[in-house]
Amino acid sequence: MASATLESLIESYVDSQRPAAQQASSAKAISKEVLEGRLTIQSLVLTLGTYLTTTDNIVRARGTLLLSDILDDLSQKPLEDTAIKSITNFYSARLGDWHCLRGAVLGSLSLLRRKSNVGAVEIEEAREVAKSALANLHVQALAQRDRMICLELFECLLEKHADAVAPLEGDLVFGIVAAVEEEKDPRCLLLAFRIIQLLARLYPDPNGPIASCADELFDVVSRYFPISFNPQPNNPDGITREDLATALKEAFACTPIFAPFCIPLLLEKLSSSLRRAKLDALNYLGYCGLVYGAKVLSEYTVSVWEALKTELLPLSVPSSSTSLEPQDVEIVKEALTCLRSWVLVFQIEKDLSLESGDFLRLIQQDGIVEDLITCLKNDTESRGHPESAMKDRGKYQAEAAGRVLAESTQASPSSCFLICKQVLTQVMTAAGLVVDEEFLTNQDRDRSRSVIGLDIVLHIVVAARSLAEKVFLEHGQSAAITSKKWLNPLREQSENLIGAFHQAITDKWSKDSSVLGVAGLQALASFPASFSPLSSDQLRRILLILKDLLIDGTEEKLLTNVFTALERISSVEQRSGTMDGDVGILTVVVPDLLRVVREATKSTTVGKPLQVLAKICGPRSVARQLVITHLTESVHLDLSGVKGNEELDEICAKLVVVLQCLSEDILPWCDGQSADQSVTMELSMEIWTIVSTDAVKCSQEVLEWSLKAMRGAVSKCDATVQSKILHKGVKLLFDTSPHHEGEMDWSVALLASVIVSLRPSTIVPNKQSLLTLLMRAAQSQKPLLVTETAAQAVASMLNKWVVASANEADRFTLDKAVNMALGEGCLSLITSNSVPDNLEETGLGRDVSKVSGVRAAAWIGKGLAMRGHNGVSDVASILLRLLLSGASKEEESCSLAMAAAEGLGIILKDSDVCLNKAHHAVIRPLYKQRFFSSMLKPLLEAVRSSSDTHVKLWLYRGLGHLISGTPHVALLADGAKVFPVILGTLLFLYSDPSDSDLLLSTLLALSAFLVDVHQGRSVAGEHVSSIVKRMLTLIQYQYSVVVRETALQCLGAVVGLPYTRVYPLRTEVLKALSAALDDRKRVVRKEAVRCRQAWTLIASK
Amino acid sequence: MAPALINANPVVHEKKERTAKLQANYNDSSPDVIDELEIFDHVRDITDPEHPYSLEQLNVVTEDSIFVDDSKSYVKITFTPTVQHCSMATIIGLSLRLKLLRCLPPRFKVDIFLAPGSHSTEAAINKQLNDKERVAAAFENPNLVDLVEKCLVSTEE
Repeated sequence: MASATLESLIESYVDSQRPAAQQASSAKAISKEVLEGRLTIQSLVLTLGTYLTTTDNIVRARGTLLLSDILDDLSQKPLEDTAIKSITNFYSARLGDWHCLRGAVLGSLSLLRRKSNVGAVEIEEAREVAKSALANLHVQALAQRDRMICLELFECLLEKHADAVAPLEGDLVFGIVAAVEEEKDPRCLLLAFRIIQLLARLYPDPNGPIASCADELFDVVSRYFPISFNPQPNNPDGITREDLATALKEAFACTPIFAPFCIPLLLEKLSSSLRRAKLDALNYLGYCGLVYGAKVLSEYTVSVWEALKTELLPLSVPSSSTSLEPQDVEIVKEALTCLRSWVLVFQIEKDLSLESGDFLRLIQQDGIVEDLITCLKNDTESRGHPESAMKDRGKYQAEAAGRVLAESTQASPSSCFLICKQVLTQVMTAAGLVVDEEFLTNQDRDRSRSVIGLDIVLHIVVAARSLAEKVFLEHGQSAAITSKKWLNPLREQSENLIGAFHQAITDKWSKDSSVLGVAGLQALASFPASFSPLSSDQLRRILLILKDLLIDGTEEKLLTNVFTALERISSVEQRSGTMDGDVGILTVVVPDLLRVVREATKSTTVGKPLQVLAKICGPRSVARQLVITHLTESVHLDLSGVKGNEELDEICAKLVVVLQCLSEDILPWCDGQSADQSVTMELSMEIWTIVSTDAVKCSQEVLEWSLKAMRGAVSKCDATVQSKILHKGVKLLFDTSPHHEGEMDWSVALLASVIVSLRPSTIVPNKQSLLTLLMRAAQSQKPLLVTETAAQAVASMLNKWVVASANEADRFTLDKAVNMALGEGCLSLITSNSVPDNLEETGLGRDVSKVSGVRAAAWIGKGLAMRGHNGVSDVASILLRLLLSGASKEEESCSLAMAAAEGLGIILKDSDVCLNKAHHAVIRPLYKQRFFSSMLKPLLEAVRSSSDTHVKLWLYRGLGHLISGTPHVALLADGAKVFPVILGTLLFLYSDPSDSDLLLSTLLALSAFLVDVHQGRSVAGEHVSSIVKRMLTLIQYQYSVVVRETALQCLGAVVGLPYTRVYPLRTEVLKALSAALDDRKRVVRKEAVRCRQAWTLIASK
Repeated sequence: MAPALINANPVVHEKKERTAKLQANYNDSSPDVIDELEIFDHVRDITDPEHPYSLEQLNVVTEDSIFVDDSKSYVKITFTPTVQHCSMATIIGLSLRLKLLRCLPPRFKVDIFLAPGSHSTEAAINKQLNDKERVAAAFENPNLVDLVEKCLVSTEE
């Protein structure tokens, strides 16, 4: 590059008159030259020389800034050490020149941030920069943006060049204090807090430079407590109060040297009347406690405990008010967290010796436990006044104490050990919860204290459980080897605990004692296995209790609780494994539930167990396989001993419930593992067996769910397993001679549902004969379920057909198959009027089979359209021809035209039973759009050329299905053409009540136009008066409430169209709306009010 | 300076939980009769002319103070101003009337009364609110209409 051009670029940057964009682009151009190696940094500096040293302040500032900008762009380019050295020296000298301060700071920053692999600044130079910055930068006096970059410079120095700045000691600390003092901008404050933190990390020594001026340093940050910051709703930096509060918390907690200043300050703020201050103080206190460590904190324990007591146990502090006002939940929560942190800090070192640390000892010696015990004991004495204030007070106090104890329990293993040891036995005895003679015999005494006691015990057990879970998560199985002595007190009491919780459920001491009981049992049973305080026998007992509750229980609320309890226990088991002896949900509860299911004779009794089985076992693969295997057994159908229809019905009903559970709740969880596959294969074999034997005697519902379960099972398997299942089916169907025609139908339907869910890679044997068989079934007059499934199977086969290479031309190819299915199979049959030879039915029968033929053709069309095969056009033309023939009054052609119209819907709408992703269909993107646009033209042509309103009606029905099946995006893209069609459809479908669903979906398409700002509205704007005309008739539509409601919504949306077109219609609309205000249904009236409101507004504008 | 408020410190009651949209009944064969709750839903959110609270919050209108007979096309609303000498009572009455005029089918006759004993010039105001001519005249007055419309804005969301 010629130096003249370089100079002109520099000139254009330095000239402050030029627009900012031009300046930036010239800087970029220079950086590009350097990056690509055409210009060295040395020669650049030489060229810049005069600009960097001139006495014109503005030019010098611009020149320095230009060099900084370029250096910033070069952060990834390796530079020579000498160059870096000399530029760094230049910048550290320039820091004193306040005119080019910004350039100097930015330049030093980009140099200091360089990574060592591209050449970083050496220690000496970094120190020089730091010294110069400390001496020359008067941060407080600068503008916000400059303050921010200065603080960034300090942050970078402290973070990346700690070795270089560490020897500066006192100078550094004072310099930084001066720099961050009195800062008010939130962006700078975040940096300032971070700098303090880094500084504290640099000098951890308690006799170091930080310690000597700790009070000044802390004074700088403590002024901001508590943070009160109300950002503008749309502030661009996105800094929230929480960000600042967290940063300040980190700054407070950065070094234990702050403790003597920090803790008293926070304690003082606790008595503040500001709620925010209180919450923050508690939060910081807990956090700082954890970080500072026990050694420095020991002198504050008493005052902290007193302060926390005021918050948590207001009644035990004499000075506080004695009212029973509910406490602020958030404050209590924060205080409890703080308590836990402080207990934890002092217990950390005691976990092996299991002694109490300073803080816990305070709690223990405070007499809370004694008060609690007295309170529980006294309760019986004040029985005479059940509602007395004393009692309420006692209860209140007891609950608060329970919370404190539970929170301390949760802090650490040793605190758990101590609290459980000290409290658990006493509370249980005092509350009368120990299982002994008296407990069992003395049933009629006042149980309210037992409930309070139980509540406290529950809290403690839950806390211990959470702690165990936490320890388990931190140490994993290895923690199992370390001492678990800390759970001993709980272990000793486990028998009593189980007894008490169980008693609470069975005896119903109060209205929610059973809930407490279930929660307690759940907590006991859901310890991670290696930490469980229970013996395997006890665990088994708990699980049995829960299971019995589930099976025999009647109370809805309790059942839900048991349900969630089992689910939780199961999920813990899944994470942490089972105990020795393999006692767990899977070995205790599941087999019993399965037995209940197997032995049940009524469908009502299996519902609940099945629900639980599905919930517990669905997500756990081992369990899932077990359950599927066992349910497969109970699917087994034995009708030999059945007498009478009632018994048969019962068996059918149960079978349906089991199949339903399998196909809806359990099979969707399967994920194609080999073990899953083998059980699902077993299941499908079993379904084959029942369907091919006696099942025909059962109701249609059994077939329906069998098909569903089969689809679910097969679609999860891989190709080899699928082909095994398929082979079995084919063999059964072709080799055995059926005794009964119905039996044959069922088998065909089942085979069809297997084919529907096959993967494309599965090899289908005997394709030709299978196709013939299925096509024949699809166009028969058998039940709809059979014909539909057969048609879907043909469609799926064609859809997933793997096109073989060309040399196999003589074999049965896709084209031949399509030809067979469409040409020879259904289309000729539908269009011909002659009765085929092999079917000798009455006219009506032929009718039915023709209709199913049309539907089959539509399904095939869908399969072909999805893979983008041309055969779909044959289907489309047939459907069109049938629509046109709908004019004649003959019943046959009407029903065929109806089927054809619905066929268009079948092709476009997503189906959830076949031809979707779950059933491995081949789906070409945008096939709906393609089909829609190919169909729209011929249909419109037909509409235009036909004069008969009957024909038009059928064509519009077809269009209606077409529109409602197509995604709205596609409709909008073709807006100008589609919109008049929508209006026409609305006009024609108005008269027949059977079209109301279609009418609704067309209306929804219309509303998509009305709300789409980009394309839809401009199209709709062309048709305002016809839209309004249509809507005014539709709001009186008598056959459907939803249509009226949606029409009103559309009418309301019309207001958003161009004002000049809408305004003239207002009188007409308002008049019509006053009739809608008197609609029969409330939802419509409400919508009418809203719509009228919108229209009155434009009228009064 | 703005004129002093008539009731500077009204008691604000809690808003009643909206009855969760009763399983919207789309069965056309069973007509929904216009009932008290429906009328109340129309008027509950009208803002008080003096305070930024709704009539429901100030207990000016309650569900019990409304009487509806759908078959006879008759609605009667009894409202209670917050203070005895409230000069805004007519404005409240007018806004109730205008709101119902817009929301109810034209077949309805709407009577609006002050609760007995709730106002010092009860009879006069009752007469004023139910006199067709005087109501029509009031709606011709642009200042009055502005005031009433402002009360209704909150109901139109």
